[in-house]
Amino acid sequence: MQTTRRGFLKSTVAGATATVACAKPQRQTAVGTHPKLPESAPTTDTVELNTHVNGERVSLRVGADHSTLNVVREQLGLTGSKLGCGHGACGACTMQLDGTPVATCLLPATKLEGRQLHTVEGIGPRSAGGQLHPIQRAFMAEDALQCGYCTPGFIVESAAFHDRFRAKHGAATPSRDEIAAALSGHLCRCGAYVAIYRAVAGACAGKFDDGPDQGPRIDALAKVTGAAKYSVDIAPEGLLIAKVLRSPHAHAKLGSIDWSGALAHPGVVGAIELTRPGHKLRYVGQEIVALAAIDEATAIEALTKVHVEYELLPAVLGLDAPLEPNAPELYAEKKARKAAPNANETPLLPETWRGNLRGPFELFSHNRGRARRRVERARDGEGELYSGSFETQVQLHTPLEPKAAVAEWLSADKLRVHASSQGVRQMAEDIATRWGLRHEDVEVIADYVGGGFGAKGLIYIEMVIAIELARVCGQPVKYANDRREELAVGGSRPGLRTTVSVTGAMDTLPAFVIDSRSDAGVAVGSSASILARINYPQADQHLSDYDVLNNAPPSSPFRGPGGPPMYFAIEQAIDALAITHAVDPIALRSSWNENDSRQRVYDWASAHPMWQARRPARSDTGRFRRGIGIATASWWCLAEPATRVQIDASRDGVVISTACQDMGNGSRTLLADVVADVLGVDPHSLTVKIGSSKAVHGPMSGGSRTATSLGPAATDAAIELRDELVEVARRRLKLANVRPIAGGVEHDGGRLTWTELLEVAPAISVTGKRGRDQGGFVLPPIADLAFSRYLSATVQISEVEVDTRLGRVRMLRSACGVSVGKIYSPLLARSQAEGGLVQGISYALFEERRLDPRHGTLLTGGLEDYRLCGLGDIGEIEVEFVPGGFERVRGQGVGIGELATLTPAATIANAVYDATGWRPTHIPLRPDRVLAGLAQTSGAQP
Amino acid sequence: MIVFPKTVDEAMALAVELGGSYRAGGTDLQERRQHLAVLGQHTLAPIVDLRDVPGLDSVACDDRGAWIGAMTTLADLAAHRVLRERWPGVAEACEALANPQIRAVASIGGNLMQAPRCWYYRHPDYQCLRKGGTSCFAREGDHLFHVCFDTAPCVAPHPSTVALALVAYEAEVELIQPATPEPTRAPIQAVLGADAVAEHAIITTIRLGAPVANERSAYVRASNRAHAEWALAEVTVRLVLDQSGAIVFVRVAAGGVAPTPLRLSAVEDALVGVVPEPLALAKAAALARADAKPLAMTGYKLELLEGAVLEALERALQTSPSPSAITTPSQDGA
Repeated sequence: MQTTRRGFLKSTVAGATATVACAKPQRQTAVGTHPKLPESAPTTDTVELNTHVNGERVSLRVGADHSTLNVVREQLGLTGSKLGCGHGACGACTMQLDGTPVATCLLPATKLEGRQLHTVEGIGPRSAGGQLHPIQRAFMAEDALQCGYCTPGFIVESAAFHDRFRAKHGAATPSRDEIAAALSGHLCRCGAYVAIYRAVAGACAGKFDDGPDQGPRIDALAKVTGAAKYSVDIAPEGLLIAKVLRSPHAHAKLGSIDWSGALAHPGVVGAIELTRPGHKLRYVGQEIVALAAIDEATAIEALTKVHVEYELLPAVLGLDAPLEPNAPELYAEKKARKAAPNANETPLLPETWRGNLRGPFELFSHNRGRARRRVERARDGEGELYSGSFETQVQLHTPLEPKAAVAEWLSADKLRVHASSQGVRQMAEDIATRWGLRHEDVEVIADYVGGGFGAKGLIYIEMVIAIELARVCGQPVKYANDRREELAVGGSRPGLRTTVSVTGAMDTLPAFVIDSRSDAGVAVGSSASILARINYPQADQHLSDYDVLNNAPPSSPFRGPGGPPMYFAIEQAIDALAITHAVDPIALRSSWNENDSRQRVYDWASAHPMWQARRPARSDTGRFRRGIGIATASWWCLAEPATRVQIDASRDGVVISTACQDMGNGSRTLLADVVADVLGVDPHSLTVKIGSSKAVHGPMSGGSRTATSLGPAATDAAIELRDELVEVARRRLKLANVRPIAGGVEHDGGRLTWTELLEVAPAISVTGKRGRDQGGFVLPPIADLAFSRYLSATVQISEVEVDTRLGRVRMLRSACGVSVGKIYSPLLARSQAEGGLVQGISYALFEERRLDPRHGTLLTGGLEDYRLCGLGDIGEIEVEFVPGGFERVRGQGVGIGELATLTPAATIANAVYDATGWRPTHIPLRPDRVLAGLAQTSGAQP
Repeated sequence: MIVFPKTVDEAMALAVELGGSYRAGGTDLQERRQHLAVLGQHTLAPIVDLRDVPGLDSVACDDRGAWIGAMTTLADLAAHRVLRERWPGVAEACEALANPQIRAVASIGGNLMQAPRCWYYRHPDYQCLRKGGTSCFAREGDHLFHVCFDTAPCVAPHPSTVALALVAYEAEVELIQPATPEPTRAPIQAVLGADAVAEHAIITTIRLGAPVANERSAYVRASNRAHAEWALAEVTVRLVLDQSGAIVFVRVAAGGVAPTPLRLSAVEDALVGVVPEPLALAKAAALARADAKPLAMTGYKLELLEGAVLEALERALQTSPSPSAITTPSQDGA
C-alpha cells in the first residue's frame, strides 16, 4: 500500500531502478512476428506429433524440452491452465491425460503422441456434453475459489476424482481425508480450502448434478472454465519476452557490464540497465540487466552472454551479524539511507541510525516511564511478570500469479500496461509521473489478478522492466517472475524478534515493555509493536521498534503488516500471565477492555462451545496431546474516502464501473451485490467493469479498505440511479404516485420493471461517492487513505493435536469470531476470513524462507522447499461475523482481509502450550522444533 | 536434440553415440534441464526418449516373484492388485510419494534414478559436488533436511521412497550396460549411490523375490505437512509372526536419512524371535540410531527415525497379513 508519491521509488523499486539506461541493437530479427518456437533453443530439434486436445485432433511441432503446458498455452492459445511453480507441486497446470490428471509443467510435450489431453477448457461448456461439470457448479455455488488462478487445476483434478468416485460409489460423500489425498498436489495461496472441501463433497454427493450456471461470485464462471484472462495470459501481436540478470552476490559493487554479446544474439531486440556500474548491489537477486527477445528460451540464452564484473563486499545476514562491531554497513551514506525501501505501509519518519541498526521507533509508547517502572517492580517480586523472547521467520507472499506485466506503447506518449495489480489507478498515476505522460494517456489493466497479498500495490520493478523495454524495443514486452524469482524478490513479511515483558492482573491494566527487531533485509520501517497499543490501548507501554539492516532482499507490506509476528509474541505473553494468575485469558483481557468491537468478540468467544467445553491444561499424557488456545487481535479500519462508483444505465443494461481490481477479494461481486440490493434485482443481471485505471477513482486493494470504500459509493450511486428512474416514470411517463419497489417501480396504474423504464429513459450516468464517516476520521486522509475512529476485532479459538513422537502439530478445529459490522457479500466475506486463517496456519506451521547463511542465496526457491499449507493441513474452520457496531462508519461495515490472519500463530502456540506445557517461541513449528521444545519440558516420548 | 529409439538396445547405442540422457516419465529431468538452461549450459545432452520402447511398462507376477518394467508408472504400481496383496510395502511406497499428478506419469525406474533434491544441487548458482564442483555447499551451509548418517561426501539423502521399499524387499534390478552385452542383475543397493550405475546403462526391470506368506508391512513418512512433502525420515517395515506370536521374519529399511536407503539390521536383529510387546518394540526402535552420524542441524532426524520405526512396527502389527498360501520364509531369506 502506498501512502506517499515518494513512496513509490522508496518502497517498491529498490534504489537501483532510478538509473535505468537502455540500449538497442539493429532490429533485424523477427520484429512484429508472433512468438514462435525458439530458433536457438537449447536443443534445436523439434518433433512432429499427432494428439488429441479437448477431443480435437491436432498436429504439433514441439521442442525436445518443451513442456505440455508450454505447448498448450503458447501454441494452442489455451491459457486456462497456469504455470504456478514449475515443478509439479502446486497443480495449477493440471490437465487430464487419457482421463488421468497430470502435472503438465513436467510432462514433456513429446509424450502427447497418440494420447488424449483435456484442459480446463475441455471440461464444461466447451466439452462434448456442452454442460458445466458438477464440480464446476459446486465450486461456484460454494465459492471454492478466490483469485481463481489455481482454480483450473483444482477443477481438472476434482472433476476426475468426482467421476472416479461416482463410478465406484454412486452419489455418496467422500471423507475429508479422501479429498485431501486426491487433491494433495494442489495449492491455493488464497486459502479457499474450506469451501473446496464443501464443493468436492457436495458434488460427489450429487448436489450439483444440475443447477444454475453461476454462483454468488459473479466472475466465478470465467474462473471455473479457464476463460478468465490474467496478465500472464495477455499476448498482443509482436510480443517480446523479457528476462533479468540478477546479482548472484549478496553484497558487491557493480563493475563493468558488457552486453554486446547478448545484443548480438539472434532474436534479442533490446536491453536495459537496472543497476548502474559503480553502484552497490545489496542482495542476491537484485536486478542488473533486463533484455527482451522473441521468446523466453532466447532471452534466457542471451542473458548468459552478458558479462558483468563485481567487486565483492562482505555481506551480513540475519539479526545478529549486522550488529557485530566490525560488520559492514549497508547504508553508510545519508543519501543511501534515504533511498532504503519501505517494508511497511505507513510513511517513513526520520530515525536514528547506528551502523545497521535503525531506531528505536518509540512514538506509540504510552506512559513509557511508568511501564518500565511497573515491569521493574514486578521483576523485583511486586506482582506477576511474564518475560519472553519470540522469533518469527520471513514469510513470502508467493501469490500463484507472480508479479507480471505486459507493456504496449500505443504511440510515443501513450501506454497500456496489463499488470498483476492491487492498485490499477495508483499505478497508472505513478507511471504517468515517472515517464512524464499525461494521466489520460496511461492505462493500467488488471481484469483478473492471480492473488495479491500486499506486494502488488505500488508500481513494481517488474512493471518498470516491461514498460522500459517496450519503449526501447518499440514492441510489446512481457515480463513475469519465474517462481524462484518471485520467491526471492517478489515480496516478504519481515522476520521479527520480539522481547516482551508484561505485568498486570484482573482489573489491573497491564504494563508492557516491548523491544522488536525486524529483519526486512535491505528495507526499513518496522513498527510492529504499535499492535500492542491498539489491542490494549489503556495499558502502560514502552514500545521500541528497530530495523536491523542486512543483505537480504527487501521486505514489503504483507497482509496485516507486523500483525502475525507481534500478536504471536504479545498474545502468548498475555496467555502466560493469565495462567500465572489462574484466570480465564478472555476474562483477563475483558477486564482491561473499553472497546465495543473487542467486547463483542470476547463475549462471543467466552460463550463458544469449544471454549466452554475445554478440558484442564495438559489433560492428555500419551503420544497425542490435544489442547485449546485463544488469541485476540485488533486492526485498523481504513477507508479511501475519494472512492467513486459510476453506473451507466441504458436500454443496453446497467454497467457499474470504478478503477479498482479484484484479486480474489471479491470487489467485482460486492459492487454487483450492493447495486442489486438497492434496485432489488439479480446481481448477475448487472455488468461490472473494473480492472482499468481509466474508470472513476477506485480504491487500492490493500489495508482492508475495499469493502468499506466501495460499498457506500456503490450504494450512493445505486440510490441516485433509482431516484432518476423514478423521476423518469413520473415526468416522462407521467405516472402517478410512483414508488420504488424491488425490481422496478409501483404506481397507481401498476408496476414497471427497471428494464422497462430503461427502454424509454435517456441513457443515465450517475456517480456515487464514498465520502467521510460521520464525525470524520482520526486523521485527515493521507494519500487518499483515512483512519476510521473504529477498530475491528477478532478472537480465534483453536484446538490442536501434538504428536509427541513425530513432532507434528495438527490443526483439528478453529473458530473465529469477527467484528466488522455490516457484511456486504456474506459468502465471499466468509471466504476472505477463512483464507486469512488458512494463511495464518500456513505461517505458523510451515512457511519459512531460508537463505544460505554465508551467501544470502535463496534456498527455498520452489514450492517444494517453501512449504504452503495444503488441503489436509487446516482442520475444520468456522467463521462467525459477530454483528453490531460501526454505526458512524459510512455503510456500517469495515474490512476483513487482514484481521483474520493476525491470530492463528498466537492461537496455535497457546494451544500447544495448553496441550504440552511447552511454549513455542519460534515459528514455523517444524517437527525438529517441536521435538526439541518437548524435550525441554520432558514432554517428548517415543 | 531428441531421438525415439524403438528398442532398449537401440536406445543404449544412441545414448552412447550421442552422449544422451534417457528420459522415462520426464518429471525430474524436465525441471533440471530448465535449470541447466538458466546456467547457460546450452549444449544440454541430447534426449533419448524411451516413449516408443515397448515392453517396459508392465508387471508380471507369479509365485517366484514379480518382474516390474522400469517404465511402469508409480500410479499403476500403487493400484496393482497382486502387488498390493503380495508385496504390499512396494505398492504402499508407490502410493505415498509425491502427489497424484506426478505418480500418474513418473516411472519406477526414473524414481530410482532421480537426482538429489538438495536445494543447493537444484540451485542454478551452485556448482556442487554432484554437478562436477569441488564442495558440498549443504555440508558447509544449511542442511536442515539432509542426512543424519553422514557417510558420503554429498550429504543429500537419497530422494526415492520406492528405493526404500525395494531395499526392504531385497529387490534386484536388471540392467543393460554398454560394456557388457548381456543383461546383468544387481542388488538394489548397488545401483542407488552417486554414480553407482555405469554411464548410459539402462535399468529395464525391477525384480522382487517370491512373496512371503502372512507378511505384514507398513510405510511411515515423517513430515510436517499431511501430504505431498519430501520425507524428513521414512521407514518401511515387513514382518511375519509365527503361531506363538513371535516375530520370525523382519525387514526394516529407512530413507531420508542417509545417502542411500539403509537396512536397519540392528533393529531387525533385536526383533527376531521376540514377541512384539511395547517395551520390546521401543527398545528395538531405539537401535535405529546405531552408527548414525548426524550433521550439525540434523540430530532431530534421529528422533524422527526412531519414532518412525516404532510407528511402522506398530502399524505393521495392526495390518492384516498377506495370503498364507505362500511358502513361509526363514530370516536369512525366502
